[in-house]
Amino acid sequence: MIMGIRILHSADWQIGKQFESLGAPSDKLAYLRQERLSVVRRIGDLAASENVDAVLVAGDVFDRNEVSDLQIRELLHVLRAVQIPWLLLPGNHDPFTVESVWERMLRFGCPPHVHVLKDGDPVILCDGRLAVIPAPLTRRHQYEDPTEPFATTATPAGAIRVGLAHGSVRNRLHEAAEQYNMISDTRAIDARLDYLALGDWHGAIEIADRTWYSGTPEADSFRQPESGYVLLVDLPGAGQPPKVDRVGTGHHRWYDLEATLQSPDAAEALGTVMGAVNKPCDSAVVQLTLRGAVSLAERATVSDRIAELEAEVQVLRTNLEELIAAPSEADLDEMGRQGFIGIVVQRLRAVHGDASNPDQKHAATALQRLYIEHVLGGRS
Amino acid sequence: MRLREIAIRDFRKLRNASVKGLVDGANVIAGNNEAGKSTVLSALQTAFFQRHNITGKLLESIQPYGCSVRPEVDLGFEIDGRTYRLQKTFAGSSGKAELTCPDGKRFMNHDADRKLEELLRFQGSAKGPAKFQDLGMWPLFWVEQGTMFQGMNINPDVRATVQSSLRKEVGDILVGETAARLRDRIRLAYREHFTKETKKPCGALSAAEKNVSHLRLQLAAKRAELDNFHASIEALESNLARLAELRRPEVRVSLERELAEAEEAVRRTEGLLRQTQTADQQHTLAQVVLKHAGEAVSRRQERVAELAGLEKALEQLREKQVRAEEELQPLEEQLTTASSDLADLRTTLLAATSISNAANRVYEFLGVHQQHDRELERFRKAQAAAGEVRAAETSRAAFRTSDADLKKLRSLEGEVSKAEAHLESAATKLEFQFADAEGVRFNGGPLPVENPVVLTDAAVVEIPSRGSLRILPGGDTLAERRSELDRARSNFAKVLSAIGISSVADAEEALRLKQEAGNSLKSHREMLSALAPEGITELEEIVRSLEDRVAVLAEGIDLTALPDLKTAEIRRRETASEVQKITSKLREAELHLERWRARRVDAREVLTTTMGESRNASGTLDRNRDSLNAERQKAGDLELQSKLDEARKAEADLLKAFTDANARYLEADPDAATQRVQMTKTALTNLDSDIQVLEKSVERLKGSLETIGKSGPGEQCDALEADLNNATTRYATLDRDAQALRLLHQTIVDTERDANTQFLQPVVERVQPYLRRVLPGARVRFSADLTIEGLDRGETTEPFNSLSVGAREQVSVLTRIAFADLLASEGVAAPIILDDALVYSDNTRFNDTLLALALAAKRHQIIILTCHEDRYLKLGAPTIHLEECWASGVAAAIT
Repeated sequence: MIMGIRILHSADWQIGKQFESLGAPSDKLAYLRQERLSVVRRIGDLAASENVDAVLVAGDVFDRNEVSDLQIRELLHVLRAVQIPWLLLPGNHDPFTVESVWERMLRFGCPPHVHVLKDGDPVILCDGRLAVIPAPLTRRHQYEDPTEPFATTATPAGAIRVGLAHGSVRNRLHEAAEQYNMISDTRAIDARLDYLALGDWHGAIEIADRTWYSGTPEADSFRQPESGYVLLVDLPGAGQPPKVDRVGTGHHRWYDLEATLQSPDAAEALGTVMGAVNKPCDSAVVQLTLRGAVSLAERATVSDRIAELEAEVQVLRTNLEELIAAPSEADLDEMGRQGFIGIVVQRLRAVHGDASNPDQKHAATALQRLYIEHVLGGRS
Repeated sequence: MRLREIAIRDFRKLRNASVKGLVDGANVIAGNNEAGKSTVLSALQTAFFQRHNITGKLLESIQPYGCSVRPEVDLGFEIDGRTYRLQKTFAGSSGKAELTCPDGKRFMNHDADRKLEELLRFQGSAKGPAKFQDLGMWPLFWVEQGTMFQGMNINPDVRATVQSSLRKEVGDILVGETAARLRDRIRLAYREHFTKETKKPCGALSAAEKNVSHLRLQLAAKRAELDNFHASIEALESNLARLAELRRPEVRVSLERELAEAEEAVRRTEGLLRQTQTADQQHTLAQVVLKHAGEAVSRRQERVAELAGLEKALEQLREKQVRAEEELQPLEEQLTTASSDLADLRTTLLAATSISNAANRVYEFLGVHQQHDRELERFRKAQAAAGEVRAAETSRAAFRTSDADLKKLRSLEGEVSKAEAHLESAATKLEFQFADAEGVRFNGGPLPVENPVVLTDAAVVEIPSRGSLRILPGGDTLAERRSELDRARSNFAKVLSAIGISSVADAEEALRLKQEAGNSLKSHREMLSALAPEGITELEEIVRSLEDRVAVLAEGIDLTALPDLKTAEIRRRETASEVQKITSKLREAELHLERWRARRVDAREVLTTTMGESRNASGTLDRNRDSLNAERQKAGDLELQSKLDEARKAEADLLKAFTDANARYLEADPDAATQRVQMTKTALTNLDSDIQVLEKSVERLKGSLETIGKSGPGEQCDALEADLNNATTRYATLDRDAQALRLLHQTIVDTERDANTQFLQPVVERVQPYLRRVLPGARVRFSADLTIEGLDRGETTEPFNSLSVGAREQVSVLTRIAFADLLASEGVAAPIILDDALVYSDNTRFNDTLLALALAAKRHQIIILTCHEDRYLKLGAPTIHLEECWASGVAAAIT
């Protein structure tokens, strides 16, 4: 009886990613950065517990070639601990070029079970039962299909042929996806592959027949809800369809929340949208976009709630540019329509309504501040 | 309130004084300096606002200096037309106060003080003395001397009263307590973000902004480093690719094959070159042979031609010799004739010369003879003159006396006289007076004729029958003097004797005669010198020489028929001229002869030369002919021509062989072949060096990249970008809040300023009618606390403290009047008391202010304390003179 093969398919670890676009304090970002390596430990644990024959990483192991030696050494340290073949494929973030991370890794001393796939030679594992045909990228953008040679790559007879590549599958991803490193959507069939393990797309998805993206094992974007998984792939034999299971490995959950607030129900609407963040919230990375028009009183409440949320979650990024605070009748009553404050409010409202006034964009915030100072006694 | 009477006793310098008759409107209280004007104001302040039982320093300050008396103030005043009387005596606990109200009710002591607070609307001090500046509106209207230009004292009471009044007019638009707290909080928050003066960001906002800039710079630097890193990687990749290309075995093999082929090509060309060189040498040899053959033929032809030329030349020479001989014959004949002519001329010249010499000799004889006569005459005169000179010299020599002798004689004569005088000075004068001198003898002789006698030597006078008298003048000393006289006389006599004269007068005469003889000698000598300047001996020699010359010249001359000198001169010239003419002809004949001779010499030379040349040509012709014949015997002319033709053909054949070989050599392109070898060798060398250079470059780049790559420049870049984004977000948030705060703060400030302006508008409007008269075009500006900020003049505001002192006191006076108007509506009617308030104002402004005061006086009681009474005459107010009120009191107090 021929034994099947079990592999663990992962990709897009992007170790060394700095999350610079989040605009968050570095101490908050440190958690996200550290988790890029922690998830590799979890993958190692999973691989060991599931007795996989190999771990295939389909590119972008590192966020870029110009990461520090420390990142490389830390990864090597984690990989050394798990004596399973690790097949690491250079992707478009870390192409195999001169002085790339891979050259440095090899210089540091790669253990034998860690395979840096620097060319298209197939890696034969499991006593010849498994042949992994890699398509490493040697530059960031390739116009030719990197998996083109797969069809002509010879492998031991009877071996399970697994392709390992990094790029965008033609005709299957939306237009926003990469336009380089395009991979044929029939490659698995053309090249007689039993499984084509892909990287680049950060969500776990079967993109074509026997062709899967594992996605990144630790989410790193608000736009990719299917992140945070690895694929446990059972390959019963050559020519037989694979059995693919998605296993969660992610720690941080990324939420992209949007809401339009309108008085007088702003607080309720905000509560509803914030409710989408699963408890406990301390592993949540939240992007909150609020729009609409609210009273000064409600705007103060919104600020309070946002402050509370920021304390609860790992990272909070807010976009409140389109949330307009305007004094309501009640606000005006509270601040006083007459007397000195009344005149100040009138003047600020006039500025707010005057498009030619260079201070127009500050008037709403000024009114809000006036409200907080005058009505709430400085509590915001 | 209207003040009516003031009585003061024992208050500071005022002992006992009272002011009465104060009316509504303006009152002027005039007094000189130190008259006590300010004391009156002080007494009013103390009486109205200090408690009666004041003690300590305040009490001491109002007591006359050095006295412990009890100051008293007695005031009569009206409020709302009703009359009150206040009497206060200040004596500590013994002090008294009594206020009599219009209804007759009296308030005593503390009650009186409290009632005053009620009537005058002020809050007195609970303990201790009250500060006048804090007491209701009174300090606003009662202005002490020298304080007017300082502005107005607006205490809380005044402010509250004015604001109360304004609220009735304007409404409550000012910042309330709540809004003020809000304003202060906003200002505080604003100041955390912006500096007070420059309104530039500070604190956290500035720090955030700087942080963003700093991070931007850091990021830019790091990105540049990363770009360099990438550039180095590209260079490394490029070098590696190039290295791989150069290391390909085919590259080297191809070059080595190329080198072998090139070297073979070079060898081939070298063979061709040798062939060409051989052909060239053979051709060169043939050229030499051809040249020699050609030269032999040419030489033969030249010899033949030369021989023909020699024969022709010889013929020509012979013809020339004949012509020369023919030319020589007439020349010889001409020469003979010319020689004959020349001989004739020479004979003629000899004869003419002889005649001329004779004429010359006669002429010379006559001339020398005449000169001899002249010189002889001169010689004779000179001889006579010389005789005169000698006679004069003899005559002068007879006189031996000289100037020195005379000088010496005079000196010796003086010494004799001096010695005589010296002797005589010691002599004794003896005067004889005998009645009978008979028998009297002197020095054994008769009495001398002279009487008295001067005795310089011992003398004896014998008187008969009486004896003798021996007289001894001078003693030994006289003997010495006599000896001295004797020596002098002896010396004098010796010199006279030596000179040969007897006296000095003779000597002087002899000297005069000697000088005359000298003068004569000089004259003769000058004569002699003029006659014979060369010397008489020389002159004699000249005469003698001339005599000889005359004798010589006289030989051969007929002395019997001598012409005169002039005739001789004419004859001499004529004969000389004849000689000259003949000589000239002779010269010409000689030249003529010389020319003929020269022509004969030339003709003879031509003939001789031609004859020589003919001989030489003939010899040469013979030799050449013999030589040519000898050569022709060795090789005939035809034989030489045949050899030449053969050499020409051989040379042409060899030239063609060389041309063909050279063409083959050039066709093989030897330069290209050599260059190809060199090029290929260089390429191989370059290949090795390029590989070495690239290997070194690769090593260097790898080392550099490894070093830079360790720290992860890309990662650092992203981390910096993350920090920058965070800093930018933080700065944007802070800036948004700060800008909102700025807007809020500015809005509050503007609103408050506008509210104040609006609120204080009634006050401003009340000031304007007065101000317009004094400072046209100006508008007073108040701050929120009612102090005068300054004057608005058009678009500019002039701060109060920047105004002149005069303008400040004018504005202060006018503003007080306006406040008085405003407060009058509140039922507060305080008299305005100004203690010398307008001392700095010029006359125009003063008069304008005075008019304003006059207008105000229609509504308010105004009391002016001044030492410038005249300036206030125009006010038309009753004037009270302090001195009239308490002249005795002041004096008493002062004393």
